[in-house]
Amino acid sequence: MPVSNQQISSLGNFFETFNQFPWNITMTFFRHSPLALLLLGAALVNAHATGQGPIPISLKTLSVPEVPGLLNGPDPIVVNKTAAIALGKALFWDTNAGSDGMACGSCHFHAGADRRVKNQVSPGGQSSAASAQQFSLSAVNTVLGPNHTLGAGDFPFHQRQDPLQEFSPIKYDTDNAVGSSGTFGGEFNGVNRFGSGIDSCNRIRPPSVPDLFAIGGIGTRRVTPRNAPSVINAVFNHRNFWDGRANNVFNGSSSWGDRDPNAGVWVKMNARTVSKQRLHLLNASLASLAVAPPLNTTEMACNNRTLKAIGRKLLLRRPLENQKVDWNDSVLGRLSLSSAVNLKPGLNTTYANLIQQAFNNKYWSYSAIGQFGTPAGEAPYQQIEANFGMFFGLAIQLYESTLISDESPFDKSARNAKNQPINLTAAELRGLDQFRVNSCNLCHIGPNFSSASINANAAIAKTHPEAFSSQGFVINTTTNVVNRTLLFPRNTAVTGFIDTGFASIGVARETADIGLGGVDDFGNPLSFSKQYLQLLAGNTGKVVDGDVAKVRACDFQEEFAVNFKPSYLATSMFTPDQGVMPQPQGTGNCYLPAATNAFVPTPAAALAELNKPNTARMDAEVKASFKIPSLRNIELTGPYMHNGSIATLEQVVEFYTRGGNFMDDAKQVTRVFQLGELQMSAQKRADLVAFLKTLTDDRVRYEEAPFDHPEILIPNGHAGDQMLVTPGPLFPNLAKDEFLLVPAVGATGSATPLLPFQDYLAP
Amino acid sequence: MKTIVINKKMLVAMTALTLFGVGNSQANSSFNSQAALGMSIGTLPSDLLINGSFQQALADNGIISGDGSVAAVFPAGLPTVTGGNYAFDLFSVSGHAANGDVSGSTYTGWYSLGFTNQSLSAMSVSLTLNYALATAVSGQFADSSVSLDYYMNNDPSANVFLNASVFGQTSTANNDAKIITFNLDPGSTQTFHSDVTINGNVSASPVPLPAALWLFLTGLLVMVRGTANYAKNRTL
Repeated sequence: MPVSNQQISSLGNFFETFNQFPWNITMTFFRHSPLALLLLGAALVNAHATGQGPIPISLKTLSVPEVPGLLNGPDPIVVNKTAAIALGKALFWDTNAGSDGMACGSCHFHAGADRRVKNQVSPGGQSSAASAQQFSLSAVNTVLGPNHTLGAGDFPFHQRQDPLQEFSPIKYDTDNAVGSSGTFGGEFNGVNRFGSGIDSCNRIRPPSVPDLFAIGGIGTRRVTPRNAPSVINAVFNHRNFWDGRANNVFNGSSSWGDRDPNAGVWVKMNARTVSKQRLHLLNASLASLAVAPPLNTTEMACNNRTLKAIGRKLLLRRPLENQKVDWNDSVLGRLSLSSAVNLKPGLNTTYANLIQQAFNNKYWSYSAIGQFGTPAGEAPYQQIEANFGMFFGLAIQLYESTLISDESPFDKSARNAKNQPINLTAAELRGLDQFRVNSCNLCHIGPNFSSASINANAAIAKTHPEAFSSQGFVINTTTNVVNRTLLFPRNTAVTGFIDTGFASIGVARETADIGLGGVDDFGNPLSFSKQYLQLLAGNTGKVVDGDVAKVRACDFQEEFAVNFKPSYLATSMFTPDQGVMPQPQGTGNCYLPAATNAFVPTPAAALAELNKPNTARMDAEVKASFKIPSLRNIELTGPYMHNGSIATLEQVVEFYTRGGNFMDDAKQVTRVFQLGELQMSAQKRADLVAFLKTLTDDRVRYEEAPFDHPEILIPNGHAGDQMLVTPGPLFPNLAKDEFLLVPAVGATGSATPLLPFQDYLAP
Repeated sequence: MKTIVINKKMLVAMTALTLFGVGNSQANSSFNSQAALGMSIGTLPSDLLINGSFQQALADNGIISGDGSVAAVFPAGLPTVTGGNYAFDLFSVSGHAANGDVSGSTYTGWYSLGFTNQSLSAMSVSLTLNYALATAVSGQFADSSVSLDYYMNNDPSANVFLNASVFGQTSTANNDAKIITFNLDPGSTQTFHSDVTINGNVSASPVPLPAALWLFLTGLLVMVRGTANYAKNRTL
């Protein structure tokens, strides 16, 4: 039976009444009673065999969000897109980009992700005191420390006696994470313009600082505390990184968008004048993302390295000077020195030359020096070096924007009148039903299977309503970066605020990693929801992202402020009793009825509520929330979850079937709960996995264009094991690297397919 | 069959070669870049006063190590004037290293041509800028670029930027002429600017000779010695 948006919304309001019940003194079991009612309601909405709610559609329907001013307008930043993409691809794969041999591609070489299994474990407790961080024993009693080789028995990192039951006893749990092994670290001294691509760093690790990444006093490469997500299709994400810290706005010099007061790029005003100016590029999160790892002391850099220094190191070098490039590389082939029978390293140009081809000369042609700083004992920086962060970020964004996998069997299938793909197998189609029946489609929504694709999804919401609604079951799909949903913080039912595209699903405890609940380098919350509350309370100085001011109350999934006194208990809402006023934003095409819902609390009402210790009206729950990832190519991008704690898709389905591992305050309990159908049927769980595998694009599997790449030699653990390592050549107290050689692949791809993560695990 | 004899002189010669570094080949690197600028006025009005000049704006050798060296030759302060033609001396920079570096050398020169309308009526001036920018590099590693900005002083933001760059092991040139026209009110002045910058970097390090080359050199010395003995002992 179809229901209206208003009816769906009032379903949430129904739970307002639950605040009147003393939930905090009930048994844990009862806290899920509302969920059962919600499920019942959902079943009433659309109970039929072909699933419910939005139906996923082809990625071919989704456009890359435009970056105004990048390639268009009267004075575009990039004047030669082809050269910029070539520059970006070279930079992405070049191991000279890191302080000691790490490239972006070193952690994103396998379907855009990382499938290494040696020296990939990070200690847990990332959001606790440093003393709380320690390596655990694995489920099979091996040491999950540096240089450990992961085996199938190590996974998952949270195990129950019955993996399908939420209240089954915990058999094993660790807060350790499977991340990506990166740099040895050290204190940055300088770079070489010529010769060795290894930075000059003081590699002596201070004995006063306990270093977990060492074996017998010999340092190992550090490991990131989160798993490397795929860069394929990442261009659709409004923000990137698991915690969203790669801002949608690129400022030219850091990840923080408008938050960074020191950000800017040097613009040549005329032949003898240069000026540092703010840059504000929308939909450029991939550029914000790109400039962070090269300075990260776990991923690629020695401490205190700068983007200018990386420019100095790379500009005069041939790109990929130590890495073979296929003569038929879809982007770099025309620049390679290779022939069909003889692959050679490097390109026939330099980074400086590619930048000069790709970018507007006002960003690199200023000839005087002195304004851009002078590193000790070196020549002053030039403009092209000072702006290297912008070149690096934008070129990599343009390259990664080509990495769109829209030719999976799911994408290529014809559709029937009900939008069902008809060229899938019976099992795969049954799996699609399970995908919808079990509410996977509510977060993994739209063509990219992710609500984090905010602007891209919003752009097609009107032309492809089937992707966001079905028979009256509507998921609001707008450019709102903040939304409202039912949460259960502190065992109390609250309709609270969340960041669109982010969710807590209870993978790990908050203390292990607070994710979106963290702050930026300047102390501002990463969360848009937290800022929105400040905006409502009149604290505009605490709003650091422009998108927050555009949030419309009338576009929330659940009501927030109404201009009437409702007949139901509204403990999470504002009414005229508290004080409401019309929303300052426009009211066209509102998701909720504008006449009653285009309202916000008055600043006084909002501030009064915000000051209450356990407010139900102004509650934003974002701790341990993480970006909702795309499911495309999910077959190849394990290990899964932000902490890499799950090795197989079957284990992922078990995780969701039991309703997650932990009940964090921000857990989205209406999306992640025990799934009865899947608990009772192994066949349905297998069908769901079969459907997920239809999202693999064979061009990704066989590394065909645009997913081809140069050769890359990736540090892959150290000589020895988790008990003993051999000193290496870089520094006597640092371990000797072992390497994974990923050969160069041209546009026609490789004969050898990429395999799922579990196939690389030790037996 | 000739008997090879390594005598005392040969041993001394080989030892000397070793001591003086013949075990390494010298991988010389160098760049040589230059800019030649000339400006001409097609029709030279009698009441148009023109003053040309060159100013050295920046001479930064960068960071030099080992035997790296760099030298610049700047034009004289005034151009050679022939009728309406104003020819400036060549502006050139060269760098070299056999076992060292020159990193980040930057030289900038400012050319200008000032115009004053001494008449009582407005006049239109047509100025031709002839430029020849060239870079040449060779050796193990050398990089150089020459760039040119030109603009009128009343609208510096409308500058035109030209670039002749070479990277790697090749050379390039950018030769052309640009025509700039502008109006001068009675009694007013205008200045045409051309800013040229030459950057250069070189690096070279001795490359150890491979064993095969050592064998070849040894054989060559023996042959030279043998030929000399043969010539000395030969009788007609």
